[in-house]
Amino acid sequence: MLFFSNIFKKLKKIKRKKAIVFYLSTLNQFQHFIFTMFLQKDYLDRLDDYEKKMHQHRLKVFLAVGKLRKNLKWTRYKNMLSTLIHLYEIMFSLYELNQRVKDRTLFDVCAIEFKSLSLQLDIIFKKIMHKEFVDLDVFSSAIVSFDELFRSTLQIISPEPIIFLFFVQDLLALYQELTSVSRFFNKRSHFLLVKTKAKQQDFDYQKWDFPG
Amino acid sequence: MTQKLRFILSNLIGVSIAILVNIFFGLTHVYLIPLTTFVVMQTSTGNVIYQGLIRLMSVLFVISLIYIFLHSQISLFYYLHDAALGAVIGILSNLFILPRHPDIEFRERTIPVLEANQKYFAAIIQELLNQDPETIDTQGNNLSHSHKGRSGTKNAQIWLEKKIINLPSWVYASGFDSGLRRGHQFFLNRTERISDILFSMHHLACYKFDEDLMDRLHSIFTECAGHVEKFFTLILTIMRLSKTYAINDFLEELEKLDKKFREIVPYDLETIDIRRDYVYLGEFIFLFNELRSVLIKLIQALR
Repeated sequence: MLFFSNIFKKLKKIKRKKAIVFYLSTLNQFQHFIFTMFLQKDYLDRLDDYEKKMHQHRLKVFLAVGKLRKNLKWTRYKNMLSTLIHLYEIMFSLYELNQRVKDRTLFDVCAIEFKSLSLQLDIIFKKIMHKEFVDLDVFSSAIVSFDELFRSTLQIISPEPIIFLFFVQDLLALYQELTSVSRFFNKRSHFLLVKTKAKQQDFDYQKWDFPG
Repeated sequence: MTQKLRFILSNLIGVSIAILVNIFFGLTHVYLIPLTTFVVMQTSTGNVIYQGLIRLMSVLFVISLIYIFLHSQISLFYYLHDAALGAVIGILSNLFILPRHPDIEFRERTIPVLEANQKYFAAIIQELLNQDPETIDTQGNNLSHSHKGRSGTKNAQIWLEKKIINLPSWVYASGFDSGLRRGHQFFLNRTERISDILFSMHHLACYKFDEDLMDRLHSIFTECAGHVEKFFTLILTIMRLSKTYAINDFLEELEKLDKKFREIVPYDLETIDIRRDYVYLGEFIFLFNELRSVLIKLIQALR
């Protein structure tokens, strides 16, 4: 019975890990799509195609969310669940910029900053998925660059500059949530690392303060 | 009868006819006719002929490939003949035997999402205004326990997430009825846009706002929220093909909300940026305006 119970627990652990990785991977693709859409020159000419792609991304996100909720509901990860769910809400909020900006030449002004933000998010998501240490300073620098561009240029040339202010605030919110998520998963990887070292050196690892 | 049931019955009848035809007119007697009929009938709604022909081409290609490897004594023409016959039966069954109605199925799939949007919006407003759980629901009645505070928002959000997955993606499929395509895609796009706006609103509503600020905007927010809920109710009434009625576009109320917000928060970029709750509230009001525009476009499209 203990043997089957252990196998069952291991299978659940694998499913939980897969659900988290799938969700983060889907969000990563979604953020990449959002930032790419900002810079598409033929967006208005091929609106139907982009709406179709957005619809497909949306469905993928919600399928991933469904799996995440199912696998994390009754586990000790349930506190992290609301933070993970909040990530996709912020993504949709970032996407709102695409709907608000009427003059798409404004996006050409932000092209470098958008690419930098998307690249940093890609690195962050991949590192979280691989339980590697995540340095969010580069991402915060990218947000600061965008903020400086907003204050120096977009505020003047944009007919409705407040929408870019909303975008900056959403980026800051994303930064905060990613900080929580990376700390949570880094703690767990630290725990795994410590346990391995402890085994090798015969430590009494009961003394260590394991994360929740 | 639901569209799904019609589709299952149509499949059963089509395959039964194919089996009979296979017995009397089949040249190969390997049940290729009913098999092809079944494959060709698995098309999405409103896409019978285009997808049916694509599937027929695929079946013919697979048969030819298998024939090359099997070196059967029966001529390839016989297999192709049976496959083509099966495809004809399949396409005609889809067109004439309990055909699916794209407009009905579209309504069946979209109405639950709009209902979920309505409930989610009500829950978001409740969370924003931190109301007593036993106050209002979407019809102005006393709220049930399932909508209490944040758990109410969470439940409404989970419900919406489940419903969105069932939205009719087949309106984007190649070969979808060209007469219906533009209108259905527009409506689907707007419905999804409402969900996007609501998710953004929830992200902002979760923030802990200054109580004094919220107290001053409480009544006007409640008034505007009431109007939005009336919009949702009207859209659902029209979708259910019931009698419609006139409605106030609440532009005046939104302008009042905006004016009141600007009285409290000077709406220039330097000042609004001082506090995050000012920016978030400003964005929430912005989203309110966007939600109103999308709802009006939906109603205009339906009328």
